[in-house]
Amino acid sequence: MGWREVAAEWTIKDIGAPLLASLAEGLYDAKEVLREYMQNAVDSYVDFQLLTGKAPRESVRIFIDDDAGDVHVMDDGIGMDRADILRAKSIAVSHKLERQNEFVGFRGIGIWAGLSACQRLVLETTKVDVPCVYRLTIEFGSIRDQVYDPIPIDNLLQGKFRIEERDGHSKDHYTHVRLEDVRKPHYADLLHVKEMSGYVSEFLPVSCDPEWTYTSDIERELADLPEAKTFDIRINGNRVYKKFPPVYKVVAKGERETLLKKPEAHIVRDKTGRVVARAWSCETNRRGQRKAIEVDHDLGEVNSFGVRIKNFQVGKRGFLADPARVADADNLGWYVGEIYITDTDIRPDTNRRAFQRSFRSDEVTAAIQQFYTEIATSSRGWSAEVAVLNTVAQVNETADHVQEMLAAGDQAPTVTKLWKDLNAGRRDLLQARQKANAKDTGEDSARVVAERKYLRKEAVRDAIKVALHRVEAVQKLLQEQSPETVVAAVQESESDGRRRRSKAQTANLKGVRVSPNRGTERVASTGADVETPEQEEDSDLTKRIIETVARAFLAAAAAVLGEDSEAYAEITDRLPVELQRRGLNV
Amino acid sequence: MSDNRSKVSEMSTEAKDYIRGIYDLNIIRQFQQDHCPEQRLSYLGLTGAEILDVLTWCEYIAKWTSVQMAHTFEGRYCADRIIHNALANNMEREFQLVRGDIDDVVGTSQGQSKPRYWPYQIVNLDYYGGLVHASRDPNLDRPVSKRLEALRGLFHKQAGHPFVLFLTLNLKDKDLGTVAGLVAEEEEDLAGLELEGVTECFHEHRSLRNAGLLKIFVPLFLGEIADQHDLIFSPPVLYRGTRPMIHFAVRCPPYVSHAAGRRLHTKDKIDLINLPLEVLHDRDTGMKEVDLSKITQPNGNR
Repeated sequence: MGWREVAAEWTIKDIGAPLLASLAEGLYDAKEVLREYMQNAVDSYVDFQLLTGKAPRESVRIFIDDDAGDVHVMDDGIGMDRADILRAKSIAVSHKLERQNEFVGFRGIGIWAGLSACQRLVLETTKVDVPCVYRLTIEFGSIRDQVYDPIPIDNLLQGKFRIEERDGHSKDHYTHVRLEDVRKPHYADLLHVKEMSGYVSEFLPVSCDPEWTYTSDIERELADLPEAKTFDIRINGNRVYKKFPPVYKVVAKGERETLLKKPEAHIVRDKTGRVVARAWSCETNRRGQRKAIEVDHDLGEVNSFGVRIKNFQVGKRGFLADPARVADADNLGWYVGEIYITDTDIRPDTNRRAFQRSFRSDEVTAAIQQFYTEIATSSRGWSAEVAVLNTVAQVNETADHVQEMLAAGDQAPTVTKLWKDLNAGRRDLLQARQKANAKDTGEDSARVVAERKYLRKEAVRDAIKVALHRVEAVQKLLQEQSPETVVAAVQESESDGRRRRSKAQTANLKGVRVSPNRGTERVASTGADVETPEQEEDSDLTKRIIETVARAFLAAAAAVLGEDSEAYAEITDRLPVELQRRGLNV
Repeated sequence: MSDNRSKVSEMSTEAKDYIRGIYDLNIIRQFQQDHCPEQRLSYLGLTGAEILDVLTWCEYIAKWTSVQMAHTFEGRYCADRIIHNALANNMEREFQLVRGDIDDVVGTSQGQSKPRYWPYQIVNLDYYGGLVHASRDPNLDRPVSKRLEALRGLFHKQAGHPFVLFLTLNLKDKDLGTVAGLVAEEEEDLAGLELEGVTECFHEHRSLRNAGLLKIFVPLFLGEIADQHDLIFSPPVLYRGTRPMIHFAVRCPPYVSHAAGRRLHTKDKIDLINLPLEVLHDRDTGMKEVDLSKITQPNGNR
């Protein structure tokens, strides 16, 4: 049963026309079609600089001729000579591979991107120092009509394209692509100036709006970053810029509210410490219930983060912000910023919606998600600061009210309520101060770190200090002027506290219920007594016992919940506070 | 800006370049100073593939509409070149290409809905095929000129707004005798009045053949139809471009003296007929006035 080899050659005839449909049909939507031609234009400027050493006028002009249903893209890049134009008609054979570290356009299908989008492609080009102009015309419509025929691909394409030349000027260099007779309705967006402008603004490498307050800060920060390079891209003569939400809002004549804080720069590293990206971010400065940055989509404003490779955005805003991997992912809406990938191993996939799989893509993805987590959890710090400052304001307002009331001779039950309000405010401020004063350990969660950072701001500390003094002063005043009412108010406050404590969180420690109530409880595992805060004797022993119990409790919680879990983090954050509330000063 | 300007001079002629770059440019500059100081203007016209007018006057132009017929292969190619040259020269902002017949675009209400930037301060009609270009309408007993009717429509559309009109005409016009007949009628009317030099004036103009006839006819025709505008003519210019041509430049400020509009009186007609005629030989020689007799009033006034 010996096998004998049969002579056979693999030729173009073995590739059927329907393969072309698989390549182009539905690969790109209207905006992505435009992006592909823009990508080519950008690449041509890179090539121009490489070839000539000169920095050309880097302008890409898009002209949407909705009367005729045509879209034009023109650049003054390097252009093409005869060899280039012959290669240009190739499918997925990119001479861009020859460029070192230039992966833009890699695996793109070049001028074929518009195969589904229009009836005809006309590309006119001339290369620097070449006194000849070339024109390539491809009948996309005719190709589509036959793409599902059972014929070899070369039969499909023959006769459906032509290349022409004429004399030109060697000083000229440009490429002008025309997508003729855009297909509607599927690709009608290509003829919509506002839609295309919005897309270009968000996804393509354009500069920040020069009218935006922080543009010069960001440009200064990114000046040395080639991955953040921008181009002058115009649609029907109007330059397109990146749009971000306004920094200020006018609230009254001559007064304005700051909505966005100044930008901060970041370096994103993977677990080994290798730099994978650079980023900038602006945090919300909103202090109300809703802190998320408001964007006007009609104006093309964006929030959250864009992940960019060679300054072309990959995917949508918030790319890679998987809530399963990014803590507080929702809070990314409190920020606006950009992440510029600097790891040269990372490339976009064919339609630029995700990273192409590579041996580095997982590490870089994880690094970005870690960055997101740090950013998002730091938003809790802002939240804590706002909450404290709101409390300070409320306390001051209550104190003002008390002083007015005393001056007017008002008595209880107003006094009772005010006393309770002041106590509640005092308690919250003490908690905040305690958080700020807590010692830093290497194991603090990101949230705790963030809260502490914001609460340690000098302005916040001062505000707390002043407010606490105010509370003390006003409560003293109340005691002097209305002692009976104050006594009643204090008693009522304390009974509320006991009720609150009885409802407080309890924990099971080796099956024994530990109640934070007053009184002594036996803890089976330690055999120690938990003493009430009022008992001053053996306070050191008490403290050691409580610390032991707390450590045992945390060990059990870690075993059950997992040390990396959010619940465990929540417990470690709140346990000291809860103990303090009960007078267990450990 | 690209090198297109120097490149396409080879396709234009020196004479046309001179008229465009010096003669007309001065008129535009003056018009801007008088009517739209420190503003840039809007342009409507037959730019041709190389958009030479727009490129030459770009300093003064904010918005422009190019009209190009595109029902033939050559027309479509020309339309493509217009867009290419607009992009190549960064002139695509506030630019519109209307594909169609200029006579329909300026002369009919349906056509007038296409250009975006009415009213236009510069209207440039480079009529390669001639002005009158009459055709036979089987329903009428006289030749019809769509082009002349379009000019009527243009002035009507621009009523109340100042603009400058450039009209460049091919001297070889299939006018079916229209112009000659109208000029003859005019001569007859004027000859019956107490004027001097009518016969000599018209005879000398006729000796210039179509150039002389158009030189009389065009200002009179515009004077009749532009009842909402004053007309300030620069001297018409004869030159040889790709063909023998005559070029008219007229500033058209709104007429405000009477609500009913301006009427063309005899004195106005005489002034129009007596316009000097320049001939452009070449760039170095410049323009020279053609010696033509003038019509005068009995007391020697023209």
